[in-house]
Amino acid sequence: MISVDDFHKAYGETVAVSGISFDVAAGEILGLVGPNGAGKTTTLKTLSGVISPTRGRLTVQGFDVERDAVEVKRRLAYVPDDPQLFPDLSVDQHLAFTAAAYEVDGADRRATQLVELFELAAKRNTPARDLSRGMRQKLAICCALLHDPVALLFDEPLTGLDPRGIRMLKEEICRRAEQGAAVIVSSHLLAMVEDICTHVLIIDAGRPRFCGTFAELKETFGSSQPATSLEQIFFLATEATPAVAATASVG
Amino acid sequence: MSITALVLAIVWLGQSVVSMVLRDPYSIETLRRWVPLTLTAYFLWHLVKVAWKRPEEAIAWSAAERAMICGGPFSRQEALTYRLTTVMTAAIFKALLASLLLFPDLPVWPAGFLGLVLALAFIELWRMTLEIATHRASARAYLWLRVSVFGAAGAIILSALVTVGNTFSTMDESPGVATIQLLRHLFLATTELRQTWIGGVCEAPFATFAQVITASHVFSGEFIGWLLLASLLVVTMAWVVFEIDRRSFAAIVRAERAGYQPSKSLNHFSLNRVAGDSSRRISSRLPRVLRLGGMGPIVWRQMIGASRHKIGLLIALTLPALLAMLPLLQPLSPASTFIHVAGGLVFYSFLLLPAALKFDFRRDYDRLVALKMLPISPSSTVFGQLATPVLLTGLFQLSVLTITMIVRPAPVGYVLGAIVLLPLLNVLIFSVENLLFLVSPYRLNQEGITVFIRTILVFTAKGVFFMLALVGLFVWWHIAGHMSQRMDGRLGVFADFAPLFIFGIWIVVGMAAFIFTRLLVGAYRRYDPSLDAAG
Repeated sequence: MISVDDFHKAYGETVAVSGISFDVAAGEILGLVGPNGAGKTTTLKTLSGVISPTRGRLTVQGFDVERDAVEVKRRLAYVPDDPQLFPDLSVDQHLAFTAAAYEVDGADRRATQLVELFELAAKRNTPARDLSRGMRQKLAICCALLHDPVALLFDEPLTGLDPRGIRMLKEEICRRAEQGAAVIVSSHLLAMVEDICTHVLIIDAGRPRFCGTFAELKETFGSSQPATSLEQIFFLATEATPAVAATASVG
Repeated sequence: MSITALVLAIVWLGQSVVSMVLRDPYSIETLRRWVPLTLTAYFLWHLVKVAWKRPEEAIAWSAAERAMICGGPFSRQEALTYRLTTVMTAAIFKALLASLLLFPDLPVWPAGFLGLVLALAFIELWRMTLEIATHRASARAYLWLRVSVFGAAGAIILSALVTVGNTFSTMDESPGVATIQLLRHLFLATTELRQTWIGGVCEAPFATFAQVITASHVFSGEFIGWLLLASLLVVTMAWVVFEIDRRSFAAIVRAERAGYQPSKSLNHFSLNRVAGDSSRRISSRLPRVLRLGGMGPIVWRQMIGASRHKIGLLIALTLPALLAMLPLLQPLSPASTFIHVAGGLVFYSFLLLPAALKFDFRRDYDRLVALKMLPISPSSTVFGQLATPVLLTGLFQLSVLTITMIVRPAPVGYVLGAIVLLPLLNVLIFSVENLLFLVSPYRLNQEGITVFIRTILVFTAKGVFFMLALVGLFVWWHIAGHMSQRMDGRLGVFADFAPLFIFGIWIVVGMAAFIFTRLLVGAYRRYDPSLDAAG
């Protein structure tokens, strides 16, 4: 569903990502973890068509992110770490805007379901500028889910959410994956990644350190040391020799 | 882009140096009369600006500043001190440029430079005070401010218009010259306000700065006295900034605490009522938005933003409308009146409207990621973004031309010419504005040296562009006249001079609009929203 092959991104002399490859099949949830500045957000922004890759091929359902940008965006939803909403538009107007942009059929019913699920029903006529951080995050998630994307990209999705919102989102991510969506979740919350993800990609300084299932991860890093949690493995992986299993396929 | 900026900088510096070398220096008396007036006008301009549009932030921070300064281990006072430092740096830079321009006129350049630094620092601090106060003012207080400012401005303009209106109607000069004379009359009428007590109060601090700027001796007790007084004014204004910021924060906290109790009691005693209210607010139908190839939602969203600012827009469009319709007061033929009104419309659409109609990319600096994520092609996004300002400018022009046609009906050919030309011209104007923005982006309230230099260069570029367009029009006027005579009816409808002239302009403007729109699409496609704007 999502395929990234030899992806590089450079800003002038600065290399943000260098040679990342992975695949995410339908029904899989990939946890993207790495220290600050590792290249996680750059990878997600490139996949969502916000920025262009310097080298490599990124596809969603066979459509190239650069050549078929509009087709990719139709199938994809990206929730950035800092949701960018339009301050003048209300919750309902955001959903109407998204429904028109993505040509969503039956948007009224879906919008109602989503705003009730994420507890925004009482705020439907409230402008985004008057919403709290958590509510803005919820609205961004509602807009992202409205068109039933087949690929979902989340960058620190739990930021600002209350405990109920966190549970709702985690369940929704799992439900969408069960229904056949490919999901990538970038987060520093390793417990959450371990909780919901089927696979994990560890990157550091723009380079891949590991890519595979949790069983493979424990096998790779747990053989020499008794590493059990993702947190322990994360430290081992980011301090180990680069590209232990750099281009392993997730699917 | 760097080469373009360099060329524009050379053009600007060149004409500045030429103006310094070739003109006669002003006398000290003239300087002492005009310097306070200019500074007062700049001072009042900030008042009009905040009354026009309430600042979105009390203090504008870039993303990096918000993360490093606001989110860093600094107190509110320390963050504010940092902001004052950046503002003062910009004031020093502006003062340096201004003092160089006034180099032949200043008796002692260091004193002039020092005085300008203090005066501009005072004005910048005044601007910050206004922005902090108006950002956090209640809706009622802000309405009062708007009513007062625009009421006063309207009364001044109206009385000046009435005073000179009769004179204008008897002028024999062309409308262009007459308009300049009218503006001169208006300006002189406004300057007479300095004789009133309000004018005296407004001008008083700047008279102090003017004494420092125009000082002939720096080692005299008089100069040191004026310098101390000017410094005291700046320090006092800085204290006002800190104080108003502190007080407004305290007011917000008080308001939040006051508002907390009722909501707490609601949670305890009226849960059913809250639930009932919530369910009543739920609307099961979303607003219907046409897609129009992706342009629909973009236009719809910008239109909602424009409707939020409709009163400000109306005020912003009234002045250019009045200025453009001045030829109606003159004893001109209908055709001549129409040409001069249309010419005025083009001039004001080019000069004033782009700043008033920022309902395009220029308003979306912080939302470009959201736009780029949408499954809408860059071309559709660009056309959608341009549609609102182009449409509003078109409506403005149509209204003025309709009034002109009602008052003094012109031949239909002239109207057709305007209808054909103006929409393309509007697309060109806003394409250029948006292209400049995407090449060198900035936030709406952003201040600093970079923004100052950018403003100078853009203004110079516009001046050069407008002059070149006028030269081009002049040349084409002669060529078209020559061609229509030589062809002698072989060009059908273009045998007449006017259709041929309009057709030529239409082709050139159309091509320019096409080229700049394509450039804008390319700039948007390449734009990387993850890069922060230069402060």
